[in-house]
Amino acid sequence: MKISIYGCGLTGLVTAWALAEAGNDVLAMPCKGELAGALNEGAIHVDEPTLSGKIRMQVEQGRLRFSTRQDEVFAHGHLHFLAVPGDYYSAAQALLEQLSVTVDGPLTVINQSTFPVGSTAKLSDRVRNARQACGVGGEVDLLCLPSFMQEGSAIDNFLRPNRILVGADGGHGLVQLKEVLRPFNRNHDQLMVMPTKAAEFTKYAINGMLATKLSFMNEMANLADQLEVDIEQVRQGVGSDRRIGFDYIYPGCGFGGQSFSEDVMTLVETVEAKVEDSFLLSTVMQTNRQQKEVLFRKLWRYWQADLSGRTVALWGGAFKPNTDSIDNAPALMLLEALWAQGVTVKLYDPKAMRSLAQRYGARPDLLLCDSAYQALEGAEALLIATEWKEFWSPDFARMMGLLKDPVIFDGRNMYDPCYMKQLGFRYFGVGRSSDHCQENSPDNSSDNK
Amino acid sequence: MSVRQSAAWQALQDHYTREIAAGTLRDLFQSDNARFSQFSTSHGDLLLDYSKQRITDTTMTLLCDLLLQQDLASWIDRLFAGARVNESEDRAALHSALRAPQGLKTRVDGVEIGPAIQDNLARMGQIVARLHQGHWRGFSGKAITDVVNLGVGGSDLGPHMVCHALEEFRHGAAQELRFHFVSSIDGSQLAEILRHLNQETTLFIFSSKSFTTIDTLANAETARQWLATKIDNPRVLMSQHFIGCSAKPEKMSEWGIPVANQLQFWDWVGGRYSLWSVIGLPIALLLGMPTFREFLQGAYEMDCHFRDAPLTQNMPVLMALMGIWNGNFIGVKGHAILPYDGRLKLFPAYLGQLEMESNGKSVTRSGEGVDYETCPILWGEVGPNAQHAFYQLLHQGTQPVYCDFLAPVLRYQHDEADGTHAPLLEQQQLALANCLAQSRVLMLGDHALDESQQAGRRPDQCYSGNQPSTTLLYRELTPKNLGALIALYENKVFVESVVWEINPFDQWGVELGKQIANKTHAAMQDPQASFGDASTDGLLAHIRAVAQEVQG
Repeated sequence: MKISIYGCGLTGLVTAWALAEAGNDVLAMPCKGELAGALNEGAIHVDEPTLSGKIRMQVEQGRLRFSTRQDEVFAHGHLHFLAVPGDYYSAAQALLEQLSVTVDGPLTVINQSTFPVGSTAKLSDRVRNARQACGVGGEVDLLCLPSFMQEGSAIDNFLRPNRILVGADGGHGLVQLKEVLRPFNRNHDQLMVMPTKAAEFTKYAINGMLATKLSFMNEMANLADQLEVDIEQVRQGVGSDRRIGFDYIYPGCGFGGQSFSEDVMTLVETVEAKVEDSFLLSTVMQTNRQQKEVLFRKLWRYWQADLSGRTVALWGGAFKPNTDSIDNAPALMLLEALWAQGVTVKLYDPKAMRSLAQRYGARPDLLLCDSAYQALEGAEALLIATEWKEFWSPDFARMMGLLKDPVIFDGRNMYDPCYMKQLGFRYFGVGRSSDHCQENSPDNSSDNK
Repeated sequence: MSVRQSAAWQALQDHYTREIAAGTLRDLFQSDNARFSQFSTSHGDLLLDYSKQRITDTTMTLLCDLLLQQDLASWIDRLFAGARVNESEDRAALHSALRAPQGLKTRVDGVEIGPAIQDNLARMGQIVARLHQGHWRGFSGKAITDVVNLGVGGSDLGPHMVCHALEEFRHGAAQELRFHFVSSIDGSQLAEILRHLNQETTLFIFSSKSFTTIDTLANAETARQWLATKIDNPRVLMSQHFIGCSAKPEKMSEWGIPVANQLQFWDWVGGRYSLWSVIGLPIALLLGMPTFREFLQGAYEMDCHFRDAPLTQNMPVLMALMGIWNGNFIGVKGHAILPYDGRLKLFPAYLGQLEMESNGKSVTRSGEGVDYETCPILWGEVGPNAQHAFYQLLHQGTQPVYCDFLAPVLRYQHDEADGTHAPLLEQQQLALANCLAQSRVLMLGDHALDESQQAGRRPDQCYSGNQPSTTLLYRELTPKNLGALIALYENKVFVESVVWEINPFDQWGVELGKQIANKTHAAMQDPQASFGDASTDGLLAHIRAVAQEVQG
């Protein structure tokens, strides 16, 4: 089938690639900031393992192309996939209106973007009105296919979904969409079809539930700090209950890693204007925001609010390991909070140094370092914001020698508090610390993720 | 010689007796169609209508003669130039300098004060920025969410009134900040709010010009002890949870406020004129600095108008003349402030201090007792609400009262809650209708009705009318217009003081009570103490008896 895709973020690219590999003829149009020329070379700007090579292969075989020529993309597809960022609603609306009056005859659009609940139906009305106003004929059907891709396993999520949630409001498009998804729906029928609004709300509810779980665990970690118990032991105990499970219960200093991206969290904040806010979820969001500053608050209390003129080392700026992306990274809030108090930060990140330099430019209170150890020289404390592989087992003896004061604030709970204590560090994780480590206590926390 | 004996005064007295006393406002309007154009003036967004005052052309001429005789122009020059117009305290009264633009050359004791003013505004701006960005943190590292202003009198009334009035101009970055005002010595407000606030996220602004005001010290001490239940480190408690605003830096330091948290103003700013200084910190926090500067600008432009406009178009002057005319010649002893604007709910109480603390005096600058009235009793309330309260007295009581009606022409031009725009616009029309109706009924009494409707009513249903009023319309309530409105009244108060020959900038009448309260407080600790007056002794005995009953 001929497929047009609008938007070349993670969802758009994976969809484009998977549909092309299954034999479809796919033409994708990038949004603002995504370059078609580079994409045709396989240079994608999402950091998804193996995706780049896979896309290049489909481009070489001619089943996948990228174009910025809107008329060409409009004319190409029998099926149009909309996969733009969540804050592109009005741009998406304009695009669809234009599409609907440019082509005639039946039109099918599959919305994968994460817009507020009810958006697909609303867009559908707009598009029909646009056609009517211009006297263009033909049925219009907008469906939604909420994306549940997680960064790092997005390809697998698309190829082998444990369910495919489809929102359809009774138009002609469902047959087409089912046909295009047939190759990914073979083991048993994983297709769940419901009205578009219900499908969108399902995604909202799932994200809300996961955010609640994560936020709850962060709150438990803060209580664990005060109760002087180790949250890591508690986490394992809690996760072993099969009704709860181990997913989304890692406490930490903010989202990233296997947690949510900020985009997903924003969705949780937008139901519909006329619906009451969920009290529970707004509390969850509030807790999550507070959690991003947890490392800063620990440092603040450790130094009794006397931060001005000090120097700290910060390991990790990227919002998660293996990426150079710093969008909404907890490290940004941390940096800005530290600078506001007059702290100089010596920063090291294996990949994100350029993004950070670009964002902040040259400033005297930011020293970009070439290695993790260089960052420690002369620093009065170490803060860890991203769990890069190379931070898991560093040379602690060397660190001890470099740090002015051997104290570590670990937003990712990477180390064993009791071992750190034996080495002579003061170590503060999220919900655990060397201060609460009894001598000779059994250490049950050796298994790390 | 008393001003009362002066030629200009006597001429007014004479004019009143011969030409005004017997007549009514209704007569004046019937004999002159052009009263509104003659007796109204506008400046900027303000329109002042004083045609419903019992005046004629002659009255205005004679009143202006009085001002000339009292040498108003040179007093205004001296005020703005920084002369020591507050003689009893040997100080200038330069609140006008606080709102003047940069580059002011005014000197006090040979030193230009402009740089110090701008410096403290800038420091205030830095504090505002830190709080707005969430970088001012409490002891636990959380951003401050609640700001409590501890202050009384000028350190409370002004900021409180303005913050209440300008809530709709709240700065985007101040959305999460809540403001609380704590003033009373009995701790009432503090007791209530501290039950709900969290020490982690609460910041206190300790505002006191002298930094010795017992009311505020008592509240600050309670706040400090409340904080200390959660904060072990006294340095952190002070550096993160207290800001001081005072004219006495050494006293702030003594109390423990670190220098970095001290904002300063000066002896030459009277307490009741201090909202333009760092005492306005809550206002700046609410509005943000650029909008706070608009507020200052509005006042500055009113100052310029006051200095430059001829007497007959000079709003502060005209309002002062109406005060003089009513109080000294017609014999009115009450002045009601009636805003038809719920946002100005606290404005009458604010003016209560401004006018009565400034001009509620009976000794002239030269130390002689006055033989004429000075400041009337001033009070007020949101007009439409007062209609259901004390307007009965205005319409049918035995006390003559002159009223200031204040109202915005436009309201609800911006964002309101869903579905309320049209009904709120309608409510604004209702408010304006009531405002115009009341001043008309006060003026005309029964004659506001058609002849046919007037007949057949019982005496207790009749209205005599002839109560004078001034109406002040402002286009919209904006920070700038509110600044102008406040400066208008400030300058008006000054003009009246020049006529009455009193010093409006001191307040010796509040001192003795403080002294005796201190003595009484000390005496209360001593069970044998006696005050030598049976009433005080009797009250104290009762207090002790009840206290013992509870303890026993």
